Amino acid sequence: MREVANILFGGAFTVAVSVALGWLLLERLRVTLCRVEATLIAFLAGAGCLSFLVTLLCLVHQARRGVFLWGGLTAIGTAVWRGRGGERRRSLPAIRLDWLVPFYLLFAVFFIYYLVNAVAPEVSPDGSGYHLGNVARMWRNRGFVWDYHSMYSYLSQGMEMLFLVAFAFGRHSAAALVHFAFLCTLPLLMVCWGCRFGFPKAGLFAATIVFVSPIIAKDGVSAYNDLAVATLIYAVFYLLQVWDEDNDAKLLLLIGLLAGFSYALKYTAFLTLPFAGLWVYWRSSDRRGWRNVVWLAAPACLLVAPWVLRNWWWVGNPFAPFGNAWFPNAYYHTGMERIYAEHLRHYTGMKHNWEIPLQLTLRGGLVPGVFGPVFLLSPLALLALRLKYGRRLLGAALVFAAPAYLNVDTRFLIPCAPFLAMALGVGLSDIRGALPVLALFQALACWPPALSTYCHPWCWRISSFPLAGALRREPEGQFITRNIGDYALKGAIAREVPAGERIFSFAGRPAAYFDRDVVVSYESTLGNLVDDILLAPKGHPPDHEEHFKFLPVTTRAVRVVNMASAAGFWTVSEVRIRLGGRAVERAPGWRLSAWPNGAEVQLAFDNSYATRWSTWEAMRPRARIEVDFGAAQRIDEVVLECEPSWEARVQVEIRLDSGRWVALTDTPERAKPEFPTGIRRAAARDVKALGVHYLLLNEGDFIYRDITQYGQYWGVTHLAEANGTHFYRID
Amino acid sequence: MERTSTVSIKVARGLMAVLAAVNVLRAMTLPVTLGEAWNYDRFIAPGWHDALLKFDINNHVLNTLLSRTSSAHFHLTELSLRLPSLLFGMLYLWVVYRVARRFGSGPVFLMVVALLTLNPMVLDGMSEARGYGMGLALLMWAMELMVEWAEGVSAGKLKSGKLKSGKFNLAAVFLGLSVVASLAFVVPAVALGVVFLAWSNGWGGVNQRQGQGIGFGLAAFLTAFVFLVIPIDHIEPGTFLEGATSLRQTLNSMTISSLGTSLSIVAATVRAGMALLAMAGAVAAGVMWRRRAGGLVVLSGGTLALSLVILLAAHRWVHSRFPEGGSVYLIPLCTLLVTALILKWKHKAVQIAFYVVGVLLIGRYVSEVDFHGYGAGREFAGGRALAKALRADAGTRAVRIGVSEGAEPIVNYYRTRLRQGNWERIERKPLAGIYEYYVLAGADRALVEQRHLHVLYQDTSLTLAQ
Repeated sequence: MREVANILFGGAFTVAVSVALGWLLLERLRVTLCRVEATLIAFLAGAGCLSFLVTLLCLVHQARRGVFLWGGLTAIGTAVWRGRGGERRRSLPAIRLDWLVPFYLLFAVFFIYYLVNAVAPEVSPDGSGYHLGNVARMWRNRGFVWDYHSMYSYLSQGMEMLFLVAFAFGRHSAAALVHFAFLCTLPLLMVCWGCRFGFPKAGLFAATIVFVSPIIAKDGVSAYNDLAVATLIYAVFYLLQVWDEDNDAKLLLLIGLLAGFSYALKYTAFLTLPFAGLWVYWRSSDRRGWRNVVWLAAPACLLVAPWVLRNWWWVGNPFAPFGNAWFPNAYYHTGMERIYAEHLRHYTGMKHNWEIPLQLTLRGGLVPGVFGPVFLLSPLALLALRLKYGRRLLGAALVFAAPAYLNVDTRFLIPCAPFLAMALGVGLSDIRGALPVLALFQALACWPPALSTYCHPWCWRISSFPLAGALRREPEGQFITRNIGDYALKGAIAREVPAGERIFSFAGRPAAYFDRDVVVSYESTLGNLVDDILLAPKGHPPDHEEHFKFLPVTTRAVRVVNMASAAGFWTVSEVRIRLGGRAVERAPGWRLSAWPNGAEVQLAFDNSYATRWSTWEAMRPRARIEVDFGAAQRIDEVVLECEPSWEARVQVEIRLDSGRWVALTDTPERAKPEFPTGIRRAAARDVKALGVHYLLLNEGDFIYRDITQYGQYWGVTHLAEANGTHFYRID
Repeated sequence: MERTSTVSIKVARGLMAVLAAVNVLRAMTLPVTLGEAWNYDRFIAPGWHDALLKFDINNHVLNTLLSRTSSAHFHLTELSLRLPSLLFGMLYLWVVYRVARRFGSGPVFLMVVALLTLNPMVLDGMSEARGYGMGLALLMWAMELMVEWAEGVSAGKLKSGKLKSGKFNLAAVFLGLSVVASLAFVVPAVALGVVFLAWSNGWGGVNQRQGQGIGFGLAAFLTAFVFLVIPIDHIEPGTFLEGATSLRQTLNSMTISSLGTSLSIVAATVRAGMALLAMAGAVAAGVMWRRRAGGLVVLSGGTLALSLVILLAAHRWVHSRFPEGGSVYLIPLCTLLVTALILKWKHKAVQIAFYVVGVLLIGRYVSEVDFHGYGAGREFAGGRALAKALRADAGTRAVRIGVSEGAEPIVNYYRTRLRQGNWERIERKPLAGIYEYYVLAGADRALVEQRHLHVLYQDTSLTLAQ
């Protein structure tokens, strides 16, 4: 029970510190908000402040339990002291009790169900993967870890900063509880909006259908950030309406802070600030527009800046892991970004576009998670267009649904769901009995045991009431292993892998539970390289040679240039320069370069047939590998050892003394010489040279069968196995 | 003031009491029909998860939900399975009484009551565990509430715009529920809704500026949505390709079921009559659409005409089939329309002809009342006797039974009904294997000769052999 108490304390303490900081801020700003809404906004604004402060602590590596505890207690104490005898805020217009009581009863029933799930050990894919993986890594290092590179560690981590505080006291589940607090805040905020702007019934309806929505619930009880983003966005919208009525410039500071915090939580919330900015500019009276926008932007920039600057300084790309084409860097390949983004942008397995709404609301087999059947009525939200607030809600829904175009995961529609639900409520509020019936229907249809009767078995949802797990009557390890098979290897990894060593995996792993860093194939340049090397023996052995022969020439530089465009990558395993049939000896004075991906040009000159240089982006004209001899060199042949790339059209060029490049030949003689043995051992050696000494392989991985069959050729030792995952050491 | 108790009223009440008793008796004693057994086996008996995995047009959702409840609370019997239908049958009798009272309290009233309740299709619907009777009751209630609402609107209220909306909203909910009862009722429900809104807009009952019409449509839609959205999501391909291939086939089948004759002259008369009636209904609805008093004519005539138009258009454009059992709604629509038109016409000869035809029809209906099986269950009427014979012979032995594909739901139903867990559950597959017992129907009965089986029970459509 002590563990459970720690979890509850961790979550509650983080929320309490947030509320305290928020109250201090609201008191300082003296904004006129009503009682309940002020508390909710205080939590959100305070969470932004706390996240910012923890970011600073991480920068100076002072993310420690004592700092959090005493700092937090100071904030709470100050807020309580400053709040003594303060003026009591007015309350929102009352809601009829016969509406409110059923709502809170329903809310309470679902709240208990969700709370138990939130307190149970964290087993969500991304939560146990990178969200808490990042947190655990930062906790081990008391701050940011600069030598670990993964695309997921470049994302803005405002939520992880809050998780870190809770994690310090209650570990993983405490972090999930913090996110759960946002899940509970959102519906209450929606009810407040309804009360304030004259749509109490619609507010209660929308709050209900959002709170019971399966994807929202599952996400909200996991250590994710989508609900925090949705709540922040809704709060920004809410305060914009309040500002629209009150025209209080100090509200803009609060709105800006929340808008900036939403970016700090998740990149996809980047629209919040421009949305708020445009709104403020549009609704400002004459000549105050720009001034108001500046009031809004200043606090926003404060919260956005740490993440932009961190990435700029750390990886040379302020928007990492995206925008690598504009900010090329050595940590994430442009082509992999494209592949990743393409993968996120498309639904797979849909037979028809009409299936998409059904998948998103009822089935959830081809998309992860469902919103519940009432969201299938979303087109009826258009009925709200007849009202001013309805138009605003629908406009916001449209804006915040836009990021879902870039990532079709159901979660990315969560920010638009509250607006859509509210608009639906406003649209249907004239139909007697419709809202309570639909809300009740959604609650019944989304009640986890009921949902399991009709949704797809793979639908991501809350599917049980894990009371034993939540109370830790069922051991945590047992619970986690039941849900995440890899967890069973935790002991073996801790025992076999020395501290500071890395493990490679083709698939994502529950990094939050491993004390060693896992390099995942698609998450970083290092992962890409290890992946490429391990696949070389079976997937792409460089068993072809392309001989570009020409009359002997003397030149100071030679280059091979691709002239074709294609979707695939252009790769070269080895470049050899010859004269009279003999290789020209490589000299220390040679200067090698390539474009794109110049950082890895050495891989084409390392005499290893397991490594190769690749553009790591779609093939395009003028991609090249260049050798500057530093002095005049006589040559008559360039040989490319590679896997044949039929789409590439390569020509050899030399540089004249005048500096002009002249093409010599674009007609290679292709040969397939006898391929030397030992590529598996070479691959293992090259992987080891990259600092990776351990492998985690699934039985479905491409090389697993080969490694099992030819383990002695690879030079690996099988250390452990659990639930289809195999753990190897490279000898 | 109109007399509230006449001989006709007393007779009508007596008739209703008798019909209620007949319905209960039939529900208790008649063997299960193929449709009932299929619905029970696919959608009522399995757990929620399995029941929601698929949906076909035979799944009458309202009946399925209510029958699940009743058969779960009471021991599975024919009565517990049919209890919801029976209750809706009572509701139907009630609404028929209320509608018929609009024709006074004399012989016309009595005739309307009899015509609306004694038709074999309607009578079966009042107790058979299917959705048609429920749909019919709900549709009629919707119509009745619409008329009552219109009648309750006074000139003062109309002027002030403060109209009571209770019956108005309830009518919308009943319309939605009729679709839930059977998808075949989507056509008359849409037609009735459209005609009602157009009519009430005509005399100013529905104010389009206030969105009352949209609200009415949405209320009906949302009612259907709440019940249907989850089951219908698992609709099986080709579901709407089941049913009659032409309107002619639908009307012929309705004639056979109602009048018990397949004489082509009768069928042709019915078809021609239906066409004339639909046109007359459309004309009458057009003529009276601004009159608040002509509700029954407008609603029944307009609905009949529009329903036929929708059926034909859907067949033409989306290749849907025509209803078979679901066409039962045409019977009250036609009956009400004819009666209302003839009473309006006030032509003595025509009225006499109407009485004569009405009496003849009632006589025919009464002669068609069957205490041995429902119209839809004649093929496997011997199912229960066969199951009992099998139980007597098999005893408590574990047995494998090969069943002809058509009879499989019937045998599975009685397996559960008679608690014969020793009978291996029958899967729908060809009779290729070797079994201890065979339940054969149709062409499969030739197996008795081919495999030299010993016949234990035989009737006109089923054979039990060992």
